[in-house]
Amino acid sequence: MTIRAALLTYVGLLLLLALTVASTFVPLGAGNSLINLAVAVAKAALIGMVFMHLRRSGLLVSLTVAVLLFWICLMYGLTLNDYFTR
Amino acid sequence: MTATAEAPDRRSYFAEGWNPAAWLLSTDHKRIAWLYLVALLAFFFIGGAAATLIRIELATPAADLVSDDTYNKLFTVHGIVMVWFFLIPSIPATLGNFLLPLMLGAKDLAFPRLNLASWYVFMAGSLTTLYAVIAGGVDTGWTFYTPLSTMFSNSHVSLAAAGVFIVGFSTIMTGINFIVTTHKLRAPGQTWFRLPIFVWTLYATSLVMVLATPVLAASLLLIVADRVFGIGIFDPAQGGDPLLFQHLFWFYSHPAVYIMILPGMGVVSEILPCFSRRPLFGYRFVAYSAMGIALLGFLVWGHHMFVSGQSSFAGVVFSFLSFCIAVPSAIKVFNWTLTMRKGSITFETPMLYALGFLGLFVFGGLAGLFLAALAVDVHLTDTYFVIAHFHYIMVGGMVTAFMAGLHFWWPKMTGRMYSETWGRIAAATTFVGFNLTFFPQFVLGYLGMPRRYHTYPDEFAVWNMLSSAGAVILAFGYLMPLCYLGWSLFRSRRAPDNPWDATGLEWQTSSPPPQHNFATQPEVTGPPYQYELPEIDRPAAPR
Amino acid sequence: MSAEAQGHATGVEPSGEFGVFVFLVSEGLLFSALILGYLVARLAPGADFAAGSRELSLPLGTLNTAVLLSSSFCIALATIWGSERSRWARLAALATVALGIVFLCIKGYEYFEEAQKGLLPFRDMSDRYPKAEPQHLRLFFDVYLALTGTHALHVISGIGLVGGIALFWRRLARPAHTLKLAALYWHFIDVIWVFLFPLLYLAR
Ligand code: HEM
Ligand SMILES: [Cu+2]
Repeated sequence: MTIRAALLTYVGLLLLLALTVASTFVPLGAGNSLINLAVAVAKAALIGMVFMHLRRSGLLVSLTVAVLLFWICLMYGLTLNDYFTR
Repeated sequence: MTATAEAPDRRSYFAEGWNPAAWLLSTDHKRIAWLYLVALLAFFFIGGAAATLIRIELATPAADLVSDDTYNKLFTVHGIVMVWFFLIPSIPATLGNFLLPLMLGAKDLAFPRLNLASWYVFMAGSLTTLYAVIAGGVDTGWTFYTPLSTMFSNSHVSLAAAGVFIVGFSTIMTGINFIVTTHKLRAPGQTWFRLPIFVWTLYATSLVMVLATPVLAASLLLIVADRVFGIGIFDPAQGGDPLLFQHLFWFYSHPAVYIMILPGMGVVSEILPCFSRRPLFGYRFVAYSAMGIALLGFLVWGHHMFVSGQSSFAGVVFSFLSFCIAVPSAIKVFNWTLTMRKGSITFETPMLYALGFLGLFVFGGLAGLFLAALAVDVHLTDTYFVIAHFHYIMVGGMVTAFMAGLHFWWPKMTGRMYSETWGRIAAATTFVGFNLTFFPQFVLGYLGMPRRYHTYPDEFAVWNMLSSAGAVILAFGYLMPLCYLGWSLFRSRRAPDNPWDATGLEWQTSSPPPQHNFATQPEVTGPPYQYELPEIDRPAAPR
Repeated sequence: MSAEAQGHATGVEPSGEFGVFVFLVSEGLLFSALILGYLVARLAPGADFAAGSRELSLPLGTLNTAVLLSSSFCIALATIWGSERSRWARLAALATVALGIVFLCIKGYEYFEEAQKGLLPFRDMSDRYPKAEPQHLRLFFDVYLALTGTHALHVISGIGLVGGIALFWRRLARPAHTLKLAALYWHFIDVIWVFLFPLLYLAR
């Protein structure tokens, strides 16, 4: 990570923040939640890829992160499976 | 434990000193294993004392020893102590701690200081809960179900839960340490499929520890938040959902039962080949099934909630998935059995325990299948059938495997042999005592005796009497090793480096091992379990 | 497996980063479980999360997000300078800590305001929160407190960690490396907030 990359990421993050906050003033129904979620994922990806240098940390660490995401899906999937079929 | 100091030329890890600081501040994984062993034994006997009182109360139908309230507190202590302060850390933190670096040919775990810290965290948490017990007790059962634990119980729930929460940290620390060690510190040439199965199962266990424990932490945190601040996420009066607690709790606690059993499976996978003089049958299947169990274990938690009010569709899904998890367990059992086929079997103490494990685990696992069937479970849930099921696996399986491993590696850990005769007697006694204690509970559950009551109708008296009688025998079975193993520390034969003529790196170093485990960096050049028939002279190293 | 990592040292260099990530997986599941609580509560009949969200201060929330993002930027700079052995590394780490403290102060002020309005569920809301149907808000604030409270505890431990490294920089064997590991944790706390912010403040 270079200082330039860090700076660009930082600016990108702030822009995304502005975008998501601004979007709440436009009533879009479910669209609002969608935008918010997409922006959050984008921000997390930026922080992860650049600041936490996931881009260059190799297979093992990438797998570790993949395991986390997969387990979140398991937890949410099987629990909500109950709530949505009550 | 003072007489084991070695002749100076061999410089075993005991030679590093006997003052308290040399034990309490050492980052040597072998010493930390002993710290854990002593602490866990103490908790095993505390939990056992509670069990004794429970069985005395239940020996007769009437309430003659304790009040209902005290009874609730007794089975709660028993459950909490046995699950979190004994079974979860049992094999990983003691035998695993001692053996993982040895089996990998490493000097220590990846993070030795984290390892020591985990013991202190464990002690802090478990003593917190113990204090809650002494200060008046907890009466929610080990499951802390809401809304009982949040709204109705006025015992020391918060403090007890806080202790369990803290112990969770130590579990996660151990898990991280084992995972990183297995990835990073293997000996040259030791590829994944040259690892002993014990390492595979410790690895799978550690994954479960890291992935499940935080969810327990979340659920306990929310209970404490409810009791202390009134944050009612589980409180129906505020729109919250008490079932969410059960989801979170069992998302942890079902995988946790595999934290308890997987290392036992690993121990048995080491012992059966050794005393059959045969390579482990289907090594890769056994390794993969450990990983399969770790994954599938996360998909079945709803089988604890069949009658709780979760949707019936979810019930069906969880029931189906629960049947699936029997598959990898069965694969292991078949492989163990086939390992012994045409072997030249000898019945030393570790082998007797391992065979006991095999029988009791199969029995308990099959009972699990009954419970996994939705309709049958409606009849059996919350009865003694469930109690019998999990005791067959957790005590019959895991504690027996723990004893098997302790006897198998005792010579390595202490440099001393124990009395083989007494060992065999104890193994047989526990097997008989165990079955006499818990088989009647299957019958009782089938007949409809509910769990967690201190009195019962007269028609259950005979089976309960049998069970209590069995518990006496079982207690003897567990007290015996305490005596002869303790005795062996002071005066018995010194152990050779490889008393069982076993394969595996841990047998290549001296008994007990030197402080840095190996004089020279060992290398691995072949698969594990290179046992051959017939027994002829053969270097112990895998070739 | 590369040969140099095997069996020799007790694995400081190659293991540290991996170990931290395994720990973060654990932490990630802790927050996932709490956020699952949020989802379930939001789905519950009668829960009015939009009303709850509107009670929070959007300006302060946005400001706090910016503060936390800046702190992440700061510690990223610190790690870069650390690997260059520049003296600025320590300063940037201290700035990170300062921003963390600012975050906590703003958060504390928000809690204070909400408590003034009688919104926090510490006591029975109905006597203190004057508007109609306080019950609808209650569940939202339950979840809000659980999530932000747990997050704040993580910020506090992050401050302790990074602050400790900055203070004892000279005494650490490899301060830049240790800082790099701590930075991973700090960024993780930031990522969590990145999700909490829209879930709580933007659900209007
Ligand atoms: C073949 C695999 C298994 C299956 C299909 C299975 C199935 C079940 C089911 C359906 C229940 C719920 C019964 C009820 O509450 O009505 C249950 C309870 C239980 N099982 Fe298993 N089980 C299996 C393996 C294990 C293992 C390996 C362990 C422990 C090492 C274990 C420990 C427990 C415990 C502790 C409970 C009771 C928890 C409580 O309510 O306090 N099970 N099992
Ligand atoms: Cu289960």
